[in-house]
Amino acid sequence: MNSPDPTGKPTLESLLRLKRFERPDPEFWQQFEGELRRKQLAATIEPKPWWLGLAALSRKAAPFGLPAGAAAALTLAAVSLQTTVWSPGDGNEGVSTVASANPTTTTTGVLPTEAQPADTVIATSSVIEDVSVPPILIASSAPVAVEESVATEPAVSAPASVPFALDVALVSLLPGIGLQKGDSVPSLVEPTPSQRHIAYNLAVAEQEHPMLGGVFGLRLARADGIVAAPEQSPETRSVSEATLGEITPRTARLLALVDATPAAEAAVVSANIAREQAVRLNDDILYASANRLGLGGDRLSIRF
Amino acid sequence: MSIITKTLDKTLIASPERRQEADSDLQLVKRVQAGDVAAFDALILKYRERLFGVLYNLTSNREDASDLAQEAFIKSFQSINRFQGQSAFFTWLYRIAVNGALTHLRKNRLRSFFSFEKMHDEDHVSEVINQLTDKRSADRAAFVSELQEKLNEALQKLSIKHRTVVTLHEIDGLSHEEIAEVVGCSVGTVRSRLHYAKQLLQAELKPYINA
Repeated sequence: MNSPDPTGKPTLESLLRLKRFERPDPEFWQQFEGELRRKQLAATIEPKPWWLGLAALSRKAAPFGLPAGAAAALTLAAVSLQTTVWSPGDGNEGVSTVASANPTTTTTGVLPTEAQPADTVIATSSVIEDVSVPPILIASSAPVAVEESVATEPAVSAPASVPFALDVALVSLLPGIGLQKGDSVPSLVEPTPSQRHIAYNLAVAEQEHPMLGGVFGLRLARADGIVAAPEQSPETRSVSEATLGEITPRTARLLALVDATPAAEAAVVSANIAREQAVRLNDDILYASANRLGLGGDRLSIRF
Repeated sequence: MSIITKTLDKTLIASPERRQEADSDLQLVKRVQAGDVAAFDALILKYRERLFGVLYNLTSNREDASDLAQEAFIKSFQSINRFQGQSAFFTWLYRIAVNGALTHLRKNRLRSFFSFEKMHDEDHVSEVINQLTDKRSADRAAFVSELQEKLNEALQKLSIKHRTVVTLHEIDGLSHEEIAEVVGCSVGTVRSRLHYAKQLLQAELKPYINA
């Protein structure tokens, strides 16, 4: 293409080469130099962006990138392992600091009793527990005195009219298992939360209807096989008469009927009444259970 | 033979003059890296016209070309400590300038203001103009202006990549290897782009050239 053209017209290359001669005047270069100096000084004064420093640092650290990354990974793994290892002997055995699915942290321990000032905390230990689980007594390996469990404030809030009713109900069960108040018992004997709730409800019912206390106590004792059927003594009847003013007129009429019978017959009648009530309750429960069941063809439906 | 020398040999295989030029540039760069800031002025004086010419032909705007050339010099001065001599200094400087120009052209794709420099009437220009026309005086100047406009229009119809290759090879005179290093592609790609760009330019400038 660079060969001379016989027609006289220039080639593409020579035509493009004309662009080389499009040059600015000398004055332009003076102006160019002045602007360049000004921009150079401005670039020197102008603070560099912070990420430029990081980029330069990363370039310098590029040869050490792999060892540094490996060291960082090892450090992270070591720290993670250290946090998951259980620390022995700190009183929180079995409690992992990593397994904190429920972040709610509560402080459990022996609450101050009436004899102690409210701001005196005997022993506290911070554990992580599920708030949905009802509060229970902390099981310990050492034997505890029954007196301490009585002195401990119940976790379930009781009505103001029946303070410590739960513990009173628990103490009432002790003779049935051959223990007296103040005896040292292993911690396994301590009632479960459900037992505490049942005992609390029984105590409330006994306070509202004192005459039914013997019946419920008899049923509970018979059901557990711990206490034999008590015999009605004249002292018991006198106590019942003392509480006559607190009972309803219907109960009073029933008691009057009972008083009209001899003592031996009264004991038999009382036992029969208790048995009938227990059977009736069982029948009611059975009837309610049978009502919930529905049989139709090959289907069995249960209503709740 | 060191790696740097091998790289330079590969880049500057086209002309031994470029090799001497690269060696002298490397000495100046080492002086700048050692703290002699005045040595960079020598590099500016040496390359400012060529660099401006490349940028002017890429943008067809003298103000944009001036700004881009200044930015390229400032960037190269700020990064002079990172220049390790694995390529010629002018290749490194061209790469900074061309990258800046490509960014500028992509950013201002919809804006096109052409401002031309005066074409100096030298021997080569006179010879080409004489081949194209026998007109004298005022008519000749008008013809040169028209030809200049047609050339710029044809260049601007090329894509940025093709225009860069044509500018560096046909106007500035860089070899295919040097262009490949500046643009950052293979020599085959440079040749392919050059061939395609010439075909387009021939079609555009058909009335003025020998088909």
